[in-house]
Amino acid sequence: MKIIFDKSLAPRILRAFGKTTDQEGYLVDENTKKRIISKSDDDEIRLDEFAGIAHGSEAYLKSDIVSLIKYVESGKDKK
Amino acid sequence: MTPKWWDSLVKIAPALEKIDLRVNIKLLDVKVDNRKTDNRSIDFGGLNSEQQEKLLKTLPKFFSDGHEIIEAEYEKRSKDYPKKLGIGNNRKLIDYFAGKIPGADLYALKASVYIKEAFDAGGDVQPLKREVRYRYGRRGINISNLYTAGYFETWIRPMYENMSNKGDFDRSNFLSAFDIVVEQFPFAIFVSKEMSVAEIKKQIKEKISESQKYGIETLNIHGIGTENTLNITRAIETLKREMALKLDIDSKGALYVVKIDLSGK
Repeated sequence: MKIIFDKSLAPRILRAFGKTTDQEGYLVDENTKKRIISKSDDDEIRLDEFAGIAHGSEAYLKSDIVSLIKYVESGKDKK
Repeated sequence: MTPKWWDSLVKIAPALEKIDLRVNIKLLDVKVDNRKTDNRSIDFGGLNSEQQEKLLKTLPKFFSDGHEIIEAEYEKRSKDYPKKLGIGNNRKLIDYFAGKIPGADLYALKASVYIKEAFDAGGDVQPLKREVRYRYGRRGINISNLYTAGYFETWIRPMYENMSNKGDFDRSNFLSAFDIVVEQFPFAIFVSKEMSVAEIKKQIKEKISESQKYGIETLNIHGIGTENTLNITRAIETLKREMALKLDIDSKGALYVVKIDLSGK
């Protein structure tokens, strides 16, 4: 099942998972303050790049086209 | 028997219990389909504040069973990408180059396919091109330009087939040639708005000289939009005073290509 959210609601969604943003706008864990890494490119994620959380293992998604392609391809394997 | 997550959801929105799962539900926009895969979705923004707060508290539990929470525009684009890949020979081209070019380049190519289809559909592709540039640098943009101009079909694929048909084919040789094409594209110039008339003219002269080294008989100059078209025209006009040029001009909408025949040089 998917829950679809508008970009403006991203901070609230992140808070539900114990995540927030640091002063530079990157996603961090509220407790550890470590930046969240995107699995598609091993890179940190800014709030404006945050596209959701996928497939049960809290894989944080980036909104760029290549991350999207990898997300779509990973979904095919599960069908 | 309903799954536990459904029971949790019903606690948030009791009205769901009265609703037939086989129909679209306006309250929470829950779409159900009959396939084995679970394609139900809930529009978070469509819930009232109290429902949203209750749902947020139960969200982490949903992810233990492979559920997702996806931004709306991303969800829309994730459905659009497979459609665009399915247009014409797009998928065949991607499948052809899978395993033949480096993985990162293949992703740049897949992104290029999407960008071109989005451009053809009238969309603004500059943000997408920036994303490719951010991830793959100049090489990514070159791949995008080469793809848009058709060179993956007209140059790179024939190059691979020609090389691979020889008995002593070594993929590393193809990859070296591919690198030259992608990094230097000896047969083409892609004019961008950052390039002045002087810069375009300089690149044309350099490419003509390089083409003679590689035995390439055509140099194509590509531009999109009025400003780039004008600058290409001005550069060519200046060059014509310095050297004899055999030209063929192809203009389709915003796309402008000047082909310089180098076979006599």
